[in-house]
Amino acid sequence: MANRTIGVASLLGMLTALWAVFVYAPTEATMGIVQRIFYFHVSAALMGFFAFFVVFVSSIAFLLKRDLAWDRIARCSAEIGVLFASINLATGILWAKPIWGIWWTWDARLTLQLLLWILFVSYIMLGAYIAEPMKRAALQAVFGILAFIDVPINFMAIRWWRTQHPSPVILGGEGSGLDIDMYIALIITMAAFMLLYTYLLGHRLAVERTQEEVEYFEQLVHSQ
Amino acid sequence: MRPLAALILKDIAVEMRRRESVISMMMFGLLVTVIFSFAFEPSGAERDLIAPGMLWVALTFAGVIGLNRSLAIDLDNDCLQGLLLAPVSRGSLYVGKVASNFLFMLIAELVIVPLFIIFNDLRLGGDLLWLILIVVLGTFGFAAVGTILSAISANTRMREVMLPMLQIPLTLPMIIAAVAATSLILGEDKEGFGSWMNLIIGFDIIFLIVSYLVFEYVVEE
Repeated sequence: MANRTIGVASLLGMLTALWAVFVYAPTEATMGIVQRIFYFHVSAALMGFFAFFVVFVSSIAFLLKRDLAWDRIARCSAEIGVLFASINLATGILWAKPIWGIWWTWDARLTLQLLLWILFVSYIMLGAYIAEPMKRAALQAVFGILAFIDVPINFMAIRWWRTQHPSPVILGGEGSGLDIDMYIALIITMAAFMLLYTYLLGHRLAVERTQEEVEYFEQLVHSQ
Repeated sequence: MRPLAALILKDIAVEMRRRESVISMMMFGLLVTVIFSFAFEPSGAERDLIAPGMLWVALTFAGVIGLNRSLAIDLDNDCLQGLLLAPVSRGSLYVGKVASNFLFMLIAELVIVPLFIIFNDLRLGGDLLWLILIVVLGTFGFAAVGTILSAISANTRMREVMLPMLQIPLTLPMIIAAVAATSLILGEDKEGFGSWMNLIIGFDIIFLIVSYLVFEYVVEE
């Protein structure tokens, strides 16, 4: 029931976000209409990071508490994180072609995001190849922690390596900054994405619990 | 210190009998070098541009080959069970395994790196010592991460596929830093060499400590 409320809220949030992005926000001066992809692009990236942070925290909680509920949250959040990271990469590719003239470049932030995507797809694959639940949970938790710690080190390495992506518009240095209306549209989109994440996570957890119940009954039937 | 030495000697004794790990790393590293030479046919100045990348691809893949069997062999023979019963901490088990993996990789590199220099006609002069330092520090980080990941992948189906999937993305910052530092050595301009070396050292230390702390969760029954 609670999840249905969140579902309705995220639907309303998404509609508001669409209105904010396409009607409310002003058109950017140099890039024109294409720039409107920015709101989804940035929101998806931030939600991806948030989801992976949830994986990190839940993995630590699992190792300390030995409660499979934490493992479930970690795994489900990783899947949704990969989804948001994929949206971020896809919108980035679509945005880069008209503005930079290329689909992809091995610039710092693009490379990092792709790497993050690969790390957490590996995380999901790892889970698929281990049968015993407690063992799988522990090994995935360890990899989830290692993968998250790897992110800041990767960030430094790749940033020194090269950079083409525009410097952060938000909280950036001099010459950065967003129009106030653009800011509001971004915040609305981010809030809608946050609701969507919560909704998806709730659903995914429910599916996971049902699956575990089915497996339990299957074992019961087979053991008779 | 005694139990740690015993753990390392055990791995050395096993390797002396089988001679699988070191030999396969050497041959694989050599193969990668040869394939790259056919693929790019580098000559003259190009060689200095491509060589750092080639070297680290060869070392990375050779390392993964060696690490693949590192914990699987203990698991298959129930040797791990015995080690867990022995009065040593889980942390020592990890450190011992890192030490022996590091050692085996260095022995393989003792063959791969000189052959790589000969085949590519690299002129290093006095910078050879710096190259050795990069290779040693890079290999150490690779072994520190690889040991815990090989313990993880040993528990999965499709072990041989799983390890590179986990290992390569996780060690990427170290590989980037090692490639960048190696190119600086081969080039004229040495600026930024120190910060790349710091990155490699930082990577080694962080992953050694974190892996040491979480290793017990990987091997427990």
